[in-house]
Parts: sequence; C-alpha cells; structure tokens
Amino acid sequence: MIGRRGWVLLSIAVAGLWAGWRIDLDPRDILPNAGGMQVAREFFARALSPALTYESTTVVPGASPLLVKALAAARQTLIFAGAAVSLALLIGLPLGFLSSTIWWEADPAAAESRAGRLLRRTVAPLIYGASRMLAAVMRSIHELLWAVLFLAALGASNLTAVIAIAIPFGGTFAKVLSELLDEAPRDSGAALRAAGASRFQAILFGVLPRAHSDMAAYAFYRFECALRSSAILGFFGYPTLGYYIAASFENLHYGEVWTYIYAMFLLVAAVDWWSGSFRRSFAA
Amino acid sequence: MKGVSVDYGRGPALKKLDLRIEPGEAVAFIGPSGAGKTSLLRVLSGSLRPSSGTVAIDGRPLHTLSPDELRETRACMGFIHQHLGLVPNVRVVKNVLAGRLGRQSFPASLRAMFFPPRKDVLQAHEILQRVGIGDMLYERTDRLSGGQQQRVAVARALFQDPGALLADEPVSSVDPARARNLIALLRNVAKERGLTLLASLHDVALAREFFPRLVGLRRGAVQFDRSPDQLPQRVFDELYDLEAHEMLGDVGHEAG
Repeated sequence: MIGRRGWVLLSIAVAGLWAGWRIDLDPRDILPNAGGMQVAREFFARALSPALTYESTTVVPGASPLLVKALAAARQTLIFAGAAVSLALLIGLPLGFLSSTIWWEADPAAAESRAGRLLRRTVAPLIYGASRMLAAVMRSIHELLWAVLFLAALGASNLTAVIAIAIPFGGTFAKVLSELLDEAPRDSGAALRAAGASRFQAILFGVLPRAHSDMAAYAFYRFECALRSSAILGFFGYPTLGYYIAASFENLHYGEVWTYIYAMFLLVAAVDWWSGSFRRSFAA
Repeated sequence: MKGVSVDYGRGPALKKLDLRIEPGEAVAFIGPSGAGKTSLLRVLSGSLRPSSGTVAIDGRPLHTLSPDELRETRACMGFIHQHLGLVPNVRVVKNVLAGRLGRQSFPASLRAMFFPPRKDVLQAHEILQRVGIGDMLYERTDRLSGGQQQRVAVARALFQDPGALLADEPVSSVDPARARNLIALLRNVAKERGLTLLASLHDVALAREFFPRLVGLRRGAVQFDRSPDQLPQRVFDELYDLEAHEMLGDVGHEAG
C-alpha cells in the first residue's frame, strides 16, 4: 500500500497542480507572439557571437574598448560583492553566535549563582530570541527590495548598494551559523570544559572548529549569490554588470548583452574554482 | 568521596558510594556496562555534580568551590574520554595545546592557540614523542588511526600538567595488543610524573596485570575494593554474571 513517503509525494504533487490551476497557468502562454518571436530570435542568434567591439556607430571618442569595459564592469561587480559579503559576515557572525544556544547552556557541575541563574533563565533567552527575530527580519526582505528602499530614502550611493546586499545576507549567515553551532558535535567542547577551559574557550577552540569548514563553504556559496545580486543591482544604476546589460539591451545591442553575460559567467566560474581549491586545501 | 549518589532521572547511576583515593595511587574501576564507571569518573573529575554526597579533592569539597576554583580543580584533572573529544579537523599540535586552556585567561589562550610560543610547541612535541607519535605533530588529527588519536588524547591530558590522570574505557576501541601497550604507557607516565591514575576498564585481565588496586562496580555500588592478589577468580565471575533481566535492563543505560 501507499506508505508515508508516498503520501508526502502525492500531497506535494496535488498541491503543485492545485496552485497551477489557481493562478491559471497555461502552457500556451509561453509561446511568444510574432513580434516577441522576432526579438527572441535576434537575441539568441547572438549567443554564440558576442560582440567584441561596440555595436553602436556613435562611440564616444576616448571610450575604452568594449572588452576592457566588460572586464572593468566585472571587476566592479566583484568588488561590490566582496564588500557586501564582508559586511554581511561582520554582522552575521556575531548575530549567529547570539542566536545559538551554545553560549548559555548550564554547566552540569558548577553550582549556579543567583546572577548566573538570572542570566540563563531570563536574560539569555531574551537575547537569543531578539537576535533570532532580528536575523529573520533582515533576511525576510530581499536585497532588491532593500535597494529600492534605500534608493528612495538615501539616493544611489555605492554604500547603499553594499548595505542592501549585506542586510539579508547577514541575516542568512546568522541563521546558518547558529544552526551549525547548535548541531556541531559537543564532545570536544565538553572535553575542554572538563579540563578546566572556560565556557568561551571551550566554544572557541572546541565547538567552532567543528562548524568551520561548513561555514566556509556556505560563505563561498553566498559570495556567488552576492555576485549575481550585485550584478542585478546595476539595473538600478549602480556601476556593475547589470547597468551595462540594461543599457545595451535598451539599444537592442544584443551582441554586447551577451558579452556582459559571458563576463558574468566567467566571474561565477572563477569564484567556483577559487572556493573549490580553498575547500580542498581545507580538507587536506 | 562520601555517600555520593548520581541520578540521571532514570534510576540511580551511583548509590551512596564511599571511596578514598590517595595521591599517586593507581586504581582500576571494573564492572559491566552501566555499572556507573563513567559517572564515577566524571564525578571524581568535577565535571558532573552528584545528586547527593560530597566529593573532595585535596581536601576541598567541590560543591563549595566558586566557578573559578572549579576550573582550577578541573585543570588539575587530566581526563581521557572514552570518545576522546578531540577536534578532528585541526592539527594534532592544536589539540595538544588545548589541554592547557584551563590554566589560561581568555586573552592568554588566544595567543597560546593562534600564536603558540616555541617552548609550548617543543613541549607538546616532547609529550607526543613520549606517547610514541612525535612525528605526527603537524598532521591533521582525523588523518590518524584510532590508536594514534587515542595517544593524542593522552598527550593533551599530559600537556595539561595535571595531578591525576582519569581514563574512561581507554582501550574499548582498540585491539588487545594495542590495548595492553596503551595501559602500560598510562601506567608508566603516571609513575614517572607521580600522577594519580584512575581508569575504568572492561578487561579484567588487564586491570589485574597493571593495577595494584581494583574497585569492582555493579549497579552503581562498590562490589569489592582490593588488590588483585587477594581476589579469587570467583569474585570476577560474580561481577560479570548478569542475570537475563539485568542485561535487558542495561539497554538504554549510559555506557560504561
């Protein structure tokens, strides 16, 4: 008969079909009209022949060659992403630590003072709850939405773009770190405690290292996400790849669009290679 | 220790135990799984608070100590855990250096762990050499065999510069030849350094061979406490002679 797993799969399938029916998903909608077909054909025709020089006939004198410009935009994207992830780590790591339970567990052997009990029973759960909540709020708003808010409130400066990415990313770092810490094996930390290490020494040298490599791998993955986000923020006018993609697209210079897309691809591939080699050296 | 009981909420693990251990003594705790050996060692090392009764180390009752004094006391007790409790993804030297955290303030430990002074590293190397794995200093810990990792745990406890070594089932996961070597090693370093040695063992033959004092535990109580020459084989058979319902009762109890 149909088992537990069968029921789960079945209900997922039913939910998916129902949702599709509710919002009138129609497979025919994806077929473009004649005009759209023309655009799509022109656009994808350039996929294998990206532009190597400007397609525009009126190039501003003194402008750097297209390929140089694409590389500069990629570099700019990389810098934005790097700044955003660094800031996100700076926010997310302490917040993640506070929203884990490892720093306020009771010592099974020590007599608990009144102040200690107050801290553990009242203050610590409050800090824990507040930081979890803060992290949830930070990541429940997408970086693009933060960017729109900041643009409206503060105008387009590079700092606002970096902060827009760093807020939701910091929130996710906090969540992931707190879970990694809470699920990390406790035996090494407990062993250090038994040898007289203080709570924070035991966490720093006994528990944190157990979550190290997972956290590094996750940070690299988020760096890749940040590259995409910082490129997309270009559509709002920040000088990253998205800015140039939008401009070329508007002028129907599809060859240039592809040039920028390939620059983006190179960037992501490079980061992937870098994180791979980093993790291998970690595992060695 | 006097009248010490431990209760995890599933029936007592230790029942009103009285025990006196002199500095420099070597004592083996033997008995079937669930007899309370691990609980006893944890209580003795100050990492578990008994439900009732008092444990005093060097005349200082543990329950009267402040957290800082308790840290000091723990720092004097080198505990070799059954599951070792090493950090697997760091170098051996780091695991050994971590032994001394109990004697360091937080800032001092940051320096000692991230920028260890040369004399600490030399001393860690010396201890690793003493336990037979001197050339593993900079290996990643999880690259070592089970027996070698055990020696890292011993080295960490020794680097701690303790007054006593406590070993919980140190040989439960290695083959008999290695087990014998390791017990001999523990016994020898304890003698060299004048350390009290307390070990819980499954293997009665090993305990008889290496330890001048054997304490038999069964169901949280002391069954006997004597030197091995005074103990007839019958006593050991009785200790391990479990009735069927007892064996079933052991399931779910804490190991050791």
